Amino acid sequence: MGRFAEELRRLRELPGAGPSADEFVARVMASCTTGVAPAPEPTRPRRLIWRFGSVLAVAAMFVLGVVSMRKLRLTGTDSPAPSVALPAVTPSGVTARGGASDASPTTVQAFVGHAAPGAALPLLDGATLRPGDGILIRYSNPSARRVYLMVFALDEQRTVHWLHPAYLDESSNPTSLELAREVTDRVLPEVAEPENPAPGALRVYALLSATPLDVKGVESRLDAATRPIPELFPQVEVEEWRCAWLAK
Amino acid sequence: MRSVAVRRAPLPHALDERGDDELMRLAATGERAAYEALVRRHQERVRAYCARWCGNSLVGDDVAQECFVEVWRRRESYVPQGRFKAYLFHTAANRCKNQRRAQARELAVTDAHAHADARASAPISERIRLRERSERIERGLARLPEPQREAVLLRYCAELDYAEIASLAGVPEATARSRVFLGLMKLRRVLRAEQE
Repeated sequence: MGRFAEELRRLRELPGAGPSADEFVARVMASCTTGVAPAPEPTRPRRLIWRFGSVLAVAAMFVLGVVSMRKLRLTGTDSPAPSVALPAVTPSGVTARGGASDASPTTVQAFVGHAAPGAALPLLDGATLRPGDGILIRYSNPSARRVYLMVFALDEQRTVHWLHPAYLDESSNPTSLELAREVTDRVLPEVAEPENPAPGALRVYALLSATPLDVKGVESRLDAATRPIPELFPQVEVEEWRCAWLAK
Repeated sequence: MRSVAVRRAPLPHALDERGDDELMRLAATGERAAYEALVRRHQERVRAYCARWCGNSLVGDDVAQECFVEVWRRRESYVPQGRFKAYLFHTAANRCKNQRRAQARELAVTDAHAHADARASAPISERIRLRERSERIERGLARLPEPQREAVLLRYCAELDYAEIASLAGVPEATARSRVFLGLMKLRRVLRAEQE
């Protein structure tokens, strides 16, 4: 069977001396952009998922005072011209409750980014994040109304990692960021990387509201939660990204 | 801002470590780098598979390229279920069958020239060795019934498991196993007969 096994093994080899792997990949990718490929259809609108489980670990977080995150500066300010290249992604279409209903809702998109320019990919459900992966937020608020944003992550242990606003001092109680008005594709100036989340499920939440929320108020609601997160914040629109954190 | 610290991580490395489904999700948003990583990951097996099916590495490369472009075009309809490889080879198999049907006659005429072109840059001893190795197994495969040839290639070229082969061929798993087994027996006989 030795010789025959060898013959079978050869099935996995390229039978001829064709183009190199690099050449072949380049050919494929060129063909993908020569007009034969249709323009990407909009990604399906994200569903707002109201789900939340046990809050025991959140309570433990309060006991231990574990609220940590790392902030990585990306650009200097809340800039319409970020230093990372963010691909076009159909906005989620989350509308801040309490604001006037209109055809130009405030939208929030999340990206997995690094500090390196050009290194940002849309954050999608099912994504696996690793140490070094930060979360970058882009929003559009084409209306003139006031809209406020908070973004945090909940890890497998239900520890809260505040991404926006920054929460590095437990004696403080920062409030939601007020989004700029009548802007599109505005990028928050930092890539925020959760610090040492527990490996496993990592949920990222964006809360859009018509009035500012504060960190401790949100945490106290999470602490008491026996219901899905959106039910805890009836005046808030909640966006969720269901990811996983893989510790290296 | 209170704390600033920059950690840099090269993205290509991160992409290489991501799973097929995750890369397809990214590709569905138009992220070309993610799809390029997928193509790079699977190109060798797909090209080998198509070349074996078509009996010609140059034609196989063209078919493999069409296969990857088709997957790119349909990236938004891909349902991530951890079976990207089977999905990819299903697309490749269909492309190969169409190719064989459309150009059955033409292939026979151009095959010899194509092989010569493909190996023109290699030393002559290497070209002879490559040609012998390739043609020997291709002759054997060509003598298998199509279902058996497909099953053998999916098992040993694409390295799919029997459940994936069965799903792809639309047959029970036992049938897939049987096709691979019978195909191997016949291939072995053919190769042995050639040696003698």
